[in-house]
Parts: sequence; C-alpha cells; structure tokens
Amino acid sequence: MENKKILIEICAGTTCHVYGSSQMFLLEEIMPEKLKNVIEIEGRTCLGFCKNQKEFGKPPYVKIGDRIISEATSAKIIEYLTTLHNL
Amino acid sequence: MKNCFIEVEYFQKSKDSEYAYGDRFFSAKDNSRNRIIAVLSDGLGSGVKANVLSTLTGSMLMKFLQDNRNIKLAASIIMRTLPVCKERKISYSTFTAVDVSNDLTVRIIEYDNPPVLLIRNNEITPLERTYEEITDSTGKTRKVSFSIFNAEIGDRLIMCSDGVSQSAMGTPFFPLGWGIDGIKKYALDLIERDSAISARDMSQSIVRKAWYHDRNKAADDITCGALYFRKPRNLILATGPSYFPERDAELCQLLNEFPGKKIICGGTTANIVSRELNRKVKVVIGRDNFDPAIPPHSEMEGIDLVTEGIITLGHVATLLKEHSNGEYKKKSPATMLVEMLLDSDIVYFLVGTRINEAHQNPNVPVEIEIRRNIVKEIAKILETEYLKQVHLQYI
Repeated sequence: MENKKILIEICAGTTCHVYGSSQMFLLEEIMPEKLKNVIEIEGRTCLGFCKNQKEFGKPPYVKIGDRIISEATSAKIIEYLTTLHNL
Repeated sequence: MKNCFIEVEYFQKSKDSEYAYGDRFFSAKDNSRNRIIAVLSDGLGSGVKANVLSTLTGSMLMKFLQDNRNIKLAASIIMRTLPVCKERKISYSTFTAVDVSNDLTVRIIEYDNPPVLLIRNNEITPLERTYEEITDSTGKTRKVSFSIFNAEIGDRLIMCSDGVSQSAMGTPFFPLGWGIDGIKKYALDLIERDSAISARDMSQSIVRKAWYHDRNKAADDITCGALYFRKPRNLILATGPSYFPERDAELCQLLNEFPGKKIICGGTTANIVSRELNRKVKVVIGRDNFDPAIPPHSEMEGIDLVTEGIITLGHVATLLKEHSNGEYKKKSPATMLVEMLLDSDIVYFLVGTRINEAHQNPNVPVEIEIRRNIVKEIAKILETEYLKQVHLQYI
C-alpha cells in the first residue's frame, strides 16, 4: 500500500450540480472507516468535462486519481475504491 | 452627492396577534435628481385598518414630496382625506417624512411620531423645529413640525413609531415605556460598539430590543427606519467568462485592481481567475453553509467570496425579492452573497457573455436561466427595492 493518499476531486460546477452532485459533498461522513485514512476529498469549481460529454460520459463527474468517473454517486465512489484497492 | 452614499433601511414587527403591519415605511430614490425620500407612517389602531390608513398616508406623502408640492398643503390634504374611525370618531395617522436633496439638504416633516433623532459625531444633535397648525377633516387643529439642516458624512437619522418608544410600558424597569431617551442611549451604545454599524443593523437592533421589552409579543406595531450618510462601500461581482477568450486577462485585471469587496460567481470564471492570477481556489466542503440545493462556495486569496454561477444567482434573486432581513431558513452560499450585496452601497456587475456549451444540452434537467437576464433582474431589485447604486458592464 503506497503512502500517498488517493485524491478524490468532486466537481461543484453548475452542470454537475443539476445532475445531482451535491450529496457527494457529504461523502466524508458516510465513508467507511478503513477508507478514510487513505483518501483525500477536494472540491473543484469546474472540472470542465461537461463540455465534452461524448468523450467523458454524463455528469456529475468525479476524478479519482487519474480516472474520471461519470454519473458519479457516493455509492459508486465507495464501490470503486473498495474494488480498486481491495480494502 | 458623489462622495456620500445614503443608506436607507427599516425593520418592523407587527403587533402580536396581527398579521398586517399598522406602520408603513416607504423610501424612494429619484435617480435623475439624486434625491432620497423616506416616509414612516403609523395608522390609528392596529392590523388591517391601521395598515390601510398608514399606507394611504405614506403613499400620498411620497407622491406629494416627489412632485415638489407645498408640504403644508399636502399635510392638510392628507388629514382631510383619511377616513374617520367609526369608534373613535377621528381620522388619524401619524407620519415622519425625510427628504434629502442632491446637496445633502435634509428637510424633515413630523406629525405626532416620536421625534427624529440626528446623531452626529457620536452625539445626539438637537434639530431646530418650527411648528405649523393644520386643520383636519373633523375641524381639529393639529401641529406639524418642520426642520431643515445640512447633512454631513457620518450623520445618522433614526425614525421610530411609538411602538418603539412605548415598548416595555408598565414593566418595573420602564413604567412609562422605554421612551425616547432610552432609544437615544441604546442607539449611542450601538455606535460605540461598532462605529460603522449599517443603517440596516441599527434599525434591526432597535426593533429587536423594543420587541424584547414587550417579551417578544409586541404590544403595538414596532417600526424603526434609519438613514446613514456615509462614504460608499464598493463591491464587484464578476460572473461568466468574457466573450472573447483573449479578454479574460482584462477581466482578471479589472477584478484584481478593484477597490472594494470582490465576488466571483461561476466555476469557469473562478478557474480563469485562478489561472490568470496564479492563485489556488479551494472548494469548502462540510456542513457549514451547506444547502443541497446550491453548490458549495470556494475560497481564493484576495477574493471575498467564490460561488457557483447561475444556480446561486437564481437563489440570490429569490432571496432579495423575499426581503428576508437576515432571517434565512437555511444558510447557504446564496445567503452569504446576499448579505455581502446588502452591506454594500455601489455594486458593479462584470458580466461575461460567453455561452456555456454544457448548458445548451437539452438533457440538462432543470431550467438554467441565461446569465445576462438573471444579473439584470438582481441589478433591478437592488436598485429599486434596496436603493443601491448599480453598474452593469458586459465583457
């Protein structure tokens, strides 16, 4: 396990908001204890992916490390982290 | 009036058990002549009847003053027009009118309200009053007082209805009510605590204190209006990227060099400013000011507030229309923005006109208004309902 924390960037832009990004800003509250120590959550004013939905898929977007997750939800983020890191 | 801004604000509570306010406060700014008029009227009794009387009086007086009619004649017309109360057999509604002209000459006309207070250099300054007698519809003569003086920067005027001065009446501490001396002392205390207290906070504090005296059940309508002559407070609100991307640098420069408070509304705009000025922008995550209906705000060095664009502005317009007076159901980035707007005197809007491609998608689930329209609407409300000086610039 690397020491560097996994950066989770949540988009706070208009398009992501209307597609339901707001609940993800409380992600830290529902994050399982074992994951809390390895992640770092930050908001982004606009990730800019909404301008190219053909390539990136539908909003809301979350970036975990280098990976872009479209149609993101809190559950999807947690699921991704659990499977990816086998935690 | 270039270097002086006049803040006009009021706050009121209706008599307990009544929904309609028996007191009315009107204010208007005549932009062409740079003149400000404020009128406080207290109708006989309380509730709907008093509301009708005070609204009649107040709106007539406003109109007469705006048309520069002879004020003595106006007062007598009003007294002869008001309907006679069935029980008390009198027609009655008190008023206080303040008329500030371009060269800061202030004319005050008072009839039966607690006297207007002038606070200059943190002291109560007496006004020189002259009295005239006017006959009303029942043949009674009534005394109206006139005063005139030149305002200076830093002056404050406070006008109250008798619900303020008579609050606490019958209690052991103030058997005869709070009284005009009580209001004077309290107002001076407020200024001593915060010498730059806004007219808005001042009127709210006085009304809340009087309301508290009545054990939060107002015995009469409680209204306080305040005027504050002060150096203008500037605020700039930048929203939207410029139409030509090469002008983004100009936008950032305008924002950076602005003397006053700075707000950015819009994720893309925030990113542009962050890039051009090389400053980090950090979204604030957490329960503070969290409202699921509005995207969270952000922080940036040198900028007082950074929010999302069109949704937040839409909420701001709604909040401004509601006149919530600082009592919000939920704190959010939009209420933070409203507070900042209302604390300023001159508001500059720097509106970028580039179209956001992402919002053109027909699949976007809620209606997203066009930025220009919503900013125009906010500007209009600030100008007409809150008497702010507003400048719009498109880039």
